[in-house]
Amino acid sequence: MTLSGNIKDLIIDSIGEGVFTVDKNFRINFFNKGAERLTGFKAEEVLGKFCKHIFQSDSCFDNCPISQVLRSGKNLYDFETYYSFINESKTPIRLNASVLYNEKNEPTGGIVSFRDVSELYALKRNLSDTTKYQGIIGRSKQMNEIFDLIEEISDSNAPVFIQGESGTGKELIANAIQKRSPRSSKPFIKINCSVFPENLLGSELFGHAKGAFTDAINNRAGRFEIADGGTIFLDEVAEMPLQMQVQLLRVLQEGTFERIGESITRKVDVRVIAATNVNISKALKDGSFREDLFYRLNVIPIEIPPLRERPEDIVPLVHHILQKFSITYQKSVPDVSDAVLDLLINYDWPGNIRELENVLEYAFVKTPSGEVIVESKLPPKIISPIKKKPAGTEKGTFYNEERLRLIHILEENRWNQTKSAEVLGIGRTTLWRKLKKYGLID
Amino acid sequence: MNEMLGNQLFMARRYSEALKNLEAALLHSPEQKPIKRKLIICYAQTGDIYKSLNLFYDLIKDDIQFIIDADPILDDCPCNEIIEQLEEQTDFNYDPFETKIYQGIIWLYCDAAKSLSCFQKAGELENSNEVIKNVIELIEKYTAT
Repeated sequence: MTLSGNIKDLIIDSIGEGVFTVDKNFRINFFNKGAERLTGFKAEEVLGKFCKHIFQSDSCFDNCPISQVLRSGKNLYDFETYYSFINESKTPIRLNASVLYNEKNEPTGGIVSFRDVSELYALKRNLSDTTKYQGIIGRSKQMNEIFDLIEEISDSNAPVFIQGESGTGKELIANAIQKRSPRSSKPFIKINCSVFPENLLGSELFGHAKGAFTDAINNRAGRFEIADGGTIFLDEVAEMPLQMQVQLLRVLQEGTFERIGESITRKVDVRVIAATNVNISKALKDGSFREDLFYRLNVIPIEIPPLRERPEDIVPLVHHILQKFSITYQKSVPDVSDAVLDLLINYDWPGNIRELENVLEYAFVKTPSGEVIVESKLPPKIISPIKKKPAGTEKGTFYNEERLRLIHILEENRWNQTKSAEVLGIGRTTLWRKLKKYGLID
Repeated sequence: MNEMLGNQLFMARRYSEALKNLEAALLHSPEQKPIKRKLIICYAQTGDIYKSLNLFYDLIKDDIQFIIDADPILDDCPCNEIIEQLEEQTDFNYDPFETKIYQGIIWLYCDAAKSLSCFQKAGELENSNEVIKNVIELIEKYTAT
């Protein structure tokens, strides 16, 4: 069955995208309702006119989409450019283009469908506006002090030692230091010292000679050699074996090292940024981290406060993360409810920003597009700790302890009530009653 | 494909690229006046003044009005832009005779009298050139009516 011209027109007019066609001279000969709605031009105003006079896009001169299709023979999808609409200067649009052919396979015109992506652009712009400093979000006094410090040391090549709990963004701080340093255009090598066994970490950092050990089938440069002239980021440096710490100290003091299995001494010029999430005082005290190395690394110390100590950063972080997910998931969840914000501010965030991001992603996925995140969409661990206590201190204490124990077991069993009841040694009905009592189910 | 791509490149004022496509299109459709009208400008703008002149003569013999009617908006004719530059220009890539031909060709897209004056000056510089004589004759005939 073929569709009549009228029906085709109705179909094309019913779609949200703007659609227009041009003849072989690039005069507009069709302009659908969507195009009228998006551009503000009426079809009768534009028909017969050159598309470049209507849309006044730079791409008309440099990179006409239809011309690209003519050259390549392939349709163009999701091409981004700017069109001038009737009331605005330039509107970012995303378009698809193809060429229309006659029965002799000669091009007779082109078809363009386009959509306004200014909202998406605004979202992206907003995302970068709220990005406080080099991609790091934070408006608390503590974070601003860190940003100021990074600026103050931007001309320096001195080692930096970053301390902070897991998930506080130590790597982002390292990135910012590198970007602002005189070595920003030079290599920036990152290595997590905790993921390599001792024998491999030596090879990773300093390289090895062919035959140095069983798998050393070729000579290999280590990360320090690769980073020569630039910067190396040693994450989780306190996890480094003691033997390796001695070698690292030598690189820091003299800039020299040998590849494993080789006697040639090599010299490098590398700035070291190190980071750890362990309690460094304890590590120094118990001897797992060398004091001399610590003092060499700790020339410029930076301590990133945990998220619980800077609740004022939660609001911008939440907005930033939601905007990021809006782009990733192509849906809009504009905000969280006030109640959710209270919960987020009062939560302890042991996993810091990484945990906040995970919690918001969980809630974001569960929230329908266009709605704000409400309490019921949050993971139970966020909701449970601050549910109202019942009256009476003693009863309240027991009440809370039992409630927390229940939550703990339920979480371990992924909220499977049958399994949780088994672990607790109670019946499923009893468990249900308790869940009801503690407000853990509706 | 050549004509449509040539049209777009002409619209983008990328004359040397447009020229290749429009030449090929003219081979395919030798009677197409819109292609000729664009090609004349492409040749003139890319330094091939004699090819431009020959095609110009060929077209005005057939339909001088077709060039005179070229409209900057309705036909996206670049004559206004070129003349604007031309009026400020003192140093041309052409010799004095060729410069007059160039100016004469371009002016016909806007003002037949000015075009005639340019061609007459060209004729004074090289009075044995038959094409110039014929062009002058055709424009004189047009302006007299």
